[in-house]
Order: sequence, then structure tokens, then C-alpha cells
Amino acid sequence: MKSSVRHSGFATLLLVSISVQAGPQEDLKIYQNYFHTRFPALSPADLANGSYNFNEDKKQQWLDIMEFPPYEAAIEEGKELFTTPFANGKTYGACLENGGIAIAHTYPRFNAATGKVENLTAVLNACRQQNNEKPLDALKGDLAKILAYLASTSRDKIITVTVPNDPRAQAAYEDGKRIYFTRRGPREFACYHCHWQAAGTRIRGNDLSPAVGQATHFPTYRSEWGEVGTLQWRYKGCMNNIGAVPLKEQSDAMNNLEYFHTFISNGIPMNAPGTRF
Amino acid sequence: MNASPGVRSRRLMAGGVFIAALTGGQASLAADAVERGRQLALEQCQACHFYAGTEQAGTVAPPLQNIKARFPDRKKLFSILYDPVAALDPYTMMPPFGRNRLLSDDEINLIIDFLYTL
Ligand code: HEC
Ligand code: HEC
Repeated sequence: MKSSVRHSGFATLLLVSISVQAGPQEDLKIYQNYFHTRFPALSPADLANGSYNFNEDKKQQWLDIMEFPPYEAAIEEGKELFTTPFANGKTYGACLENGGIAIAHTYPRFNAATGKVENLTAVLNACRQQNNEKPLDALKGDLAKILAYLASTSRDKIITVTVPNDPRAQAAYEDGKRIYFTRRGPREFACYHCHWQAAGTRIRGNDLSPAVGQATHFPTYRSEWGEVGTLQWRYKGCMNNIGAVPLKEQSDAMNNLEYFHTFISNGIPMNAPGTRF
Repeated sequence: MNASPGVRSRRLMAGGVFIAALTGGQASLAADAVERGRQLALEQCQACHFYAGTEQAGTVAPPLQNIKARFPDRKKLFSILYDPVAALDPYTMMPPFGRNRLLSDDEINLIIDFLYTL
């Protein structure tokens, strides 16, 4: 439209969250209860199937795709990449608890040494740098493949993200929550609007997935991407779609958003890597 | 859902285009406004609202119907389209079309002309 002006900054209005400074555990109960009441027929594991819960045709198409999951190759390649030693002979495994196996469902974590939240992407890239290797693209490519492999070793384990009793961790969680509820872009949409308030309804032709359950299947193979990509890539996609300036991957804001957003899926089995078309 | 208002509005628009071609008078200006409003609504409103004549309507928001009866005060309707955060609900998902200049005041008025046919 010729008369429209593209605003790309943040709207000043901030949605207050549903609970008033109750703390993460209380939030979790309230939020999950909200979606349970909205969608009583959906179990927590069902919620993780996102928008396909609301569209039988698409669900059937998705189940057909899942007969030969398009992420299988990424898991194999990721395993190869993960186990191949760096030039100095060391491996990723040495940087990670339990050699990296069956830990993906516990990330992002608060790191008391840095006072910041880090996801597995950050840990893997930090490991590379400690071993004199260049960091990888944090959204796609080899790193996402490694994540696909690591996630596959956590499949069916319950998402267990903790917010320790450290004021810096609590602040990171609150910051992520604030970002989730903040309006942005010219239409002043918050994540909350599409994936909470309007979850289960359709915007144009798109069924909107509920916030709880979204983080469980990342990294995910998206047909639109033609490859496996990370949760932060998906976040940037939604920010771009609404005409907002996307947050930078691996920034504190983005990591705190991922912290909050993954925390609210606590208790739901991990089903990553996933597939979306 | 009552289909008759939509049928009526389509007939009115078709008639308007026909008259415009012949005469270009007052009635055709009004019909032209409704037609432009209809186009703008397809671009800006059907993503969330169903109403008579939508092609791929979303289900986010309540259907738009009986607008004249429900919003007899045109100023009030204008204020909802201009800034629903202020006029409707501070948490609404509906975009502030006027406040953020997604639509000009003229365009909002064209959409309202169309809404009043629903
Ligand atoms: C205007 C609507 C809208 C807004 C605002 C929005 N999204 Fe989305 N989002 C979508 C649609 C449509 C999809 C694709 C269908 C689906 O899975 O819900 C999607 C998909 C997603 C997915 C993938 C879900 C899956 O099952 O794979 C994630 C994660 C996500 N959004 C997070 C966010 C975050 C975080 C924000 C805020 C920064 C946000 N979205 C804002 C519309 C929106
Ligand atoms: C992104 C979603 C979205 C879009 C786009 C949108 N609306 Fe809405 N609209 C809503 C929602 C949600 C409501 C329900 C009120 C609330 O949120 O409190 C609403 C309410 C309304 C109402 C009050 C309805 C009632 O029955 O009380 C009117 C009138 C309205 N919208 C007109 C429009 C028009 C005209 C457009 C396009 C210029 C439009 N809307 C675009 C989401 C949207």
C-alpha cells in the first residue's frame, strides 16, 4: 500500500504477562494449565505436534512425510561431524557433559560462570573456539546437523530446563518472558498474540501452533528451508514475517527468549529433530 | 451465518460498476468507494476476520457482520480501525492501522463504507 509507512522498531507498548512476578515454577503451572483448558483433548505430547493438531489434511500429509523423515541424513552427518576430531585431535565430546549424549533436553542452561544463558549452539561454538576452530553458522548447516544428532540422543526424554535460584538466572528468564510478550513491527504483534491468544485458530491459511510444545522438536527440517535449522532461525522467520527487525542470533535477548520459550515446554517429551512443511 | 447481506452487497457493487460506466454520477462514486474498501479489506482484514465475500479468511477474530446495527456510530468504528489497542482492548491482536499509518484516514473510511454493506 503506498500510504503505509514501514515501522520496524519496537512498539512502546509492553504486554504485562499473565502472572504478576510469580516466578518460573508458578508461571509454568499457570501457562500449561491455560493450554490444557483451551485444548483439553490434546495431551502435552500432542501439543508438540503444533499446528498439525488443528488441520487433519495437513496432519495426514505430515504423517506421510514422517514415514521417511527428511532429517535422517542430517542426524547421520551430524554424528560424523560431532565425532570427527578437531585439527588438534580433541573432540566436541570433551567439552560436554556425558560426552554430549542425552543432554539436549536440558538446554538452554544458565551458566553461573558467565552469568548468562547458553544453548547447545553456544556451547558447541565455544568448544570450537577453545580448540582453535572457527565458530559455525549458529542457525543452519553443519551446526544444525550436529544439534540434530545430539537431539536424537535425547528423543523421548522430558524437557527439563531449570532456572536456578540465582538473581541473574531469574532476570534472564524474566527478560525472555518480557520479549515474548512484547509487541513488535508495524502491526504490533507479540509472539504471545499468534501462539497463545490465537493458538489453534487460522491466520490467512496458517493454523497457529500453541507456544507450549513448540520448542520440543528443534532443530527441525523445514521444507521451506530445505534443511535442518535451529529454533532461533525459526524465531527470526516469525520476526521477519511480521515486518519487525529480527533479534540477532546468539544475542542475550535471543538466548533469553529461547530460555523462556523452552522452559514453558518443561515436562513434554523431546521429539527432535522434527519435520515441518 | 446469514448469507443475504453478502449477496446484497455483491449485487450492489456489480450495479455500481455498471452505472459508473454509463454515467459516472454520485451513486457510482459511492459504489466505487465500496469497491475500493472491499479490496482494502481483502488485503488487510480477511487474514483474521471472516465476512461475506472473503476468499481465504482467517479464524483469529470474530466474523464481521451486521456492522451498521452493531456500530451505528461511524466515529467509534473509525477509532477501532485507527487504534484498536486504545479503542477496543489493550491486549488485542488487531493492528493499529491508522496509528501506524498502515492505512490512511481515507483508506479507513473506504473500508468503513464497505463494512456498512455487511
Ligand atoms: C502474526 C503471527 C505470528 C507471530 C506474531 C509469531 N508467529 Fe511464530 N508462527 C506463525 C505461523 C503462521 C507459524 C507456522 C505455523 C505454526 O507452526 O504455528 C509459526 C511458527 C512458529 C514456530 C514453529 C512451530 C513449529 O511447530 O515448528 C515457532 C517456534 C514460532 N513460530 C515462534 C515464534 C516466536 C518466538 C514469535 C515472536 C518473536 C513468533 N513466533 C511470532 C505466526 C506467528
Ligand atoms: C491480526 C488480526 C486482525 C486483523 C488483521 C484485523 N483484525 Fe479486527 N479484530 C481482531 C480481533 C482479535 C478482534 C476481537 C477484539 C479484541 O481483540 O478484543 C477484532 C475486532 C474487530 C472489530 C470489533 C468486532 C466486534 O464484533 O466487536 C472490528 C469492527 C474489526 N475488528 C474490524 C477490522 C477491520 C475492518 C480490519 C481490517 C482493516 C481488521 N479488523 C483487521 C483481529 C484482527
